[in-house]
Amino acid sequence: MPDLDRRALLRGMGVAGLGLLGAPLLASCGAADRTPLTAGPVGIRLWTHDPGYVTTFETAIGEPGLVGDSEFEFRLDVTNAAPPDIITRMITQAIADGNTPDLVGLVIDQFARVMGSSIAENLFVDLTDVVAPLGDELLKLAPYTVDGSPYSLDADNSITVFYFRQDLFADHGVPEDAATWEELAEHGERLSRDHEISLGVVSTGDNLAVANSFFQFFLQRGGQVFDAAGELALDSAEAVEVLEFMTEGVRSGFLLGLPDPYSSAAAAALKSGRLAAIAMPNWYNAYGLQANVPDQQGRWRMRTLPRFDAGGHLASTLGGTGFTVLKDKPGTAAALDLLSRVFLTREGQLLRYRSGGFLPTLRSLYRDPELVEVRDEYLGGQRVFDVYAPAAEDLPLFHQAPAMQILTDVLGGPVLDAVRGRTSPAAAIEAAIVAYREQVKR
Amino acid sequence: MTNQTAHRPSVPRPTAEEPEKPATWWSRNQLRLAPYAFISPFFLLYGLFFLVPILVGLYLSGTEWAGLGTPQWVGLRNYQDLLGDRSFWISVGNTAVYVLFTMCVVVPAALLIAQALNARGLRGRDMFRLAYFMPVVISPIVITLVFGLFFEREFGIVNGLLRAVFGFGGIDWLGDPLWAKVSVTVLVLWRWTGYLTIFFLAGLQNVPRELYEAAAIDGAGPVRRFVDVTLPSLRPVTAFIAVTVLVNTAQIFDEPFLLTQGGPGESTLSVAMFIYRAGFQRQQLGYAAAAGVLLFVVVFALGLLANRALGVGRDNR
Amino acid sequence: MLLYTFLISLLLVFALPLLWALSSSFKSRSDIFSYPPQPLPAPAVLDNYRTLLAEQPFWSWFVTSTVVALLSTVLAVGLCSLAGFAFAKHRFRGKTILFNIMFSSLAVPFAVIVVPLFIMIAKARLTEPYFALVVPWIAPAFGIFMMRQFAEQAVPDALLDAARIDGCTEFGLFRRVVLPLLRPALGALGVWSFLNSYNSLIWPLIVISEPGDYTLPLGIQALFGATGRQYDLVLAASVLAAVPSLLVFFLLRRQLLEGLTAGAVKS
Repeated sequence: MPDLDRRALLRGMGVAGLGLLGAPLLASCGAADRTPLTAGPVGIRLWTHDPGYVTTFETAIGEPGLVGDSEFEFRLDVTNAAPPDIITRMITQAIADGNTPDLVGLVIDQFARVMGSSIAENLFVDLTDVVAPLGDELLKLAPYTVDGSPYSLDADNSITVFYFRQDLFADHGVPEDAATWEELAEHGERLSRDHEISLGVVSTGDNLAVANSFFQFFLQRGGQVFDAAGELALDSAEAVEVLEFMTEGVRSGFLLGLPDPYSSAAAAALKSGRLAAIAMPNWYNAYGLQANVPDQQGRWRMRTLPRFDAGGHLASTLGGTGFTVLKDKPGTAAALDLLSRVFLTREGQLLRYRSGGFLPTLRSLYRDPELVEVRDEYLGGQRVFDVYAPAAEDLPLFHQAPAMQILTDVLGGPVLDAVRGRTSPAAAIEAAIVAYREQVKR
Repeated sequence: MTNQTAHRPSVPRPTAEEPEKPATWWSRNQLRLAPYAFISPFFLLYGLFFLVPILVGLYLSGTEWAGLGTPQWVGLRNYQDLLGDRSFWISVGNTAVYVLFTMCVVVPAALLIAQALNARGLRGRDMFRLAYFMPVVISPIVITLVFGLFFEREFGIVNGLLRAVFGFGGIDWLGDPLWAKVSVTVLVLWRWTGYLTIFFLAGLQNVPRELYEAAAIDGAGPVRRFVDVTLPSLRPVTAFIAVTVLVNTAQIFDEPFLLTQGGPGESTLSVAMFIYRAGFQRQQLGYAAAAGVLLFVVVFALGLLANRALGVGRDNR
Repeated sequence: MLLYTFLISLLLVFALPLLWALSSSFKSRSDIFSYPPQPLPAPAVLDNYRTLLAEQPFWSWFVTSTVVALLSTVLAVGLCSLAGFAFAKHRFRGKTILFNIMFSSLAVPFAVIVVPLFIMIAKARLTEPYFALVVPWIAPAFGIFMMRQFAEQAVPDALLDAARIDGCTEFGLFRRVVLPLLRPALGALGVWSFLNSYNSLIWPLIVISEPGDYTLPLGIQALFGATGRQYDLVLAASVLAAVPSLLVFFLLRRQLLEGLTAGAVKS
């Protein structure tokens, strides 16, 4: 192709455009073969935003114990792209009848984009029969369920825990086992006043970050963003109460307002020791702490979240990536086989944990002897499943709806206004609900 | 060398690109036909890759379509909804702010800098130009990183400086609805001023030195020379820059997207972002197309107005 | 002196972020965001570059981006100056209406055409970068508009008439008389065109899905989109990615300057 182009360049300017038009037309004919493969070598087209998942699948296909008895010989053909781009591109490719992937990882809040207009139903394999044998052993299906059918399996259970600097807690007399947020907030206020140290983060960046930060506390408090039918369930006392907690926390300095937990500001806060604790899901250990402050190894520990005085869960959740198989593709059967082997078996989930630290989504694995013994070097050799196991038992279940993106957009502004004291928490929740109804009506 | 050919155009010789065959017919008609031949490659590509998609977009604006399945015809409902959509009007207001700012600050600033760079005997002109040009070569993600770092409330460098110098630096550059707009406009200023300078400089270099010299002999000061010589000579270039900047700023997307994602809330959302959000984040492709058509109509009208005002279409002969 | 103070302070403002990226790209990941910020890497490490080049197909992104951008630039500059000349210096039937059609396309938001355009290109199976990222973009209305404005100013009618009397063909006129006079504008348009192609993100994002066809912005975007944001690699990639644009600008600066002599021609 470059040769043709170069020759075209040498011709007169007017002809060049025509030459270019013609050359690839001839060169790139021949439609893709669509016959479904049922056995033998198969290249699975995998799209994901995260190299961690690629490592997992790549390790898996080299593991005879896991894929040895499969009809297929797997090969991976990987495309990396940022999370929102994956869906955009998948849909445009589908419109054009082009090259959609066989297996795709969709970040949980992006999954909401395929929930409307029968997109999931038209593009994805319905996993109802695949997950049926597992019953309620399989966790975290609800957010990926559309009209009663699950379309995606999460790679991680995304359990929010409380990471804290053991050294700073000891230095400043903060108890490691504070039972409630309220108790912790008192210490936080003191630490902020005397030492400019905060014990948590409220995101103040873009709408998605702000909304996520709110959802994480809200779900722990026992709130629901959407009910199982996809109706907005935000209109609740818990929502206002949680927002009051966040607002008061930021005002007193107990919580630090940062654009988001991955931002450069968060890195600076961790590095300078101004952030002595943070409530984030399991993956923050690798991507937030170890990536930004490797030198603080051994000083961090984790525990389950303090509870809210008024009730709620021992854990919360944020994020996740669901893997989805596209239907009617040559590689559909192979992709489904691979996904089931890695995501629905004990061996697969253990491998998933070993290769990328992804927490099991099979309930019983939290008592699995192999995992119970796992010790985390960065967390000073702590037995992490001692924390994850009780948290997994009490993980809030949550639902999504097609209008999730809209909710995120309308919630971000008011929540931030409340956190910054420009409006009251009650008014902020009210404003978000009004704006949501206005925009969803269409 | 260039000057010589320009002064004494040589008698044309038949060359490889200009075969002799059509010479007689062609030479009789070429003055009439040449302009068509010159513009035809453009219009060919334009029709195929622009006109056709626009017509499809126009059709889509009358439908409801999530990207899959068949678009459903809903007539003018998308337009009706848009006019009642508060977010849309917010984005229109924000965009108007960006346009006003760019026209009133960025363009004059670029002209001023170009004028400074065009000063006779300036040392290091190349270095200055290269440096001023840097903002546009930086990957947008680095811009997000750098400006996020500069404007951040707690750990940002700008607030750090303010605190050090004035003892006050609690400005929420990206989180306050008003300051966020200011930050976006600062980014626009930083990113495009140096770039526009290049265009002004290219124009300034076509202003004959003799005109300045003549004006200087007449006793005109630098300001007079600028007003009497520079501005009139630069009229076509200025008109071009003003119109394109107007048209481009009305479609501004990158800066708010990179810096604030349109937030806080929707306080920096531009119309182009609104379209992108509807089409690529909410799968409302018909609605997005309708907003695009409205934006087109407004921008086109503005462009035409500016065109008239600045005399772009006027025939100079 | 005042002039130099002004110019140098501007230089700092404009160049600082790139210098920051350059400096930070030599820091280890955990030092990039230390607070208070360190201006210089201590110690300076090459790890980011090494990891980038070892683990990512950086050179493939680089080559695709550069070739696509150069190709688009050469073709766009040729087509635009030709058409711009016709619009500036010829009288022909339908000129005003054609110009207005062309001009109005400047106002079309990209988001409106992107989906239909993608469908067309994909249905024709032309999603290959040297076509899809080049051909639809080599006749930008902006470029024609720009060349027309410059040609109007820089090409004296008397010179054209003289050349015509000497028997010069219209294309010969364009090549021997007009092009040299347009040099500074060609430089400016070349720079614009190169940057536009080299930096474009949304269109390649939609049209390119094979990792082997990725351009630099796509590659960098994917690095940044990965969980935990790979700041270290993004910085190294961005610094290397800035080189061709700066080089193009540096090479074309002669073109931009040559206008001084060309402009001295009296009509």
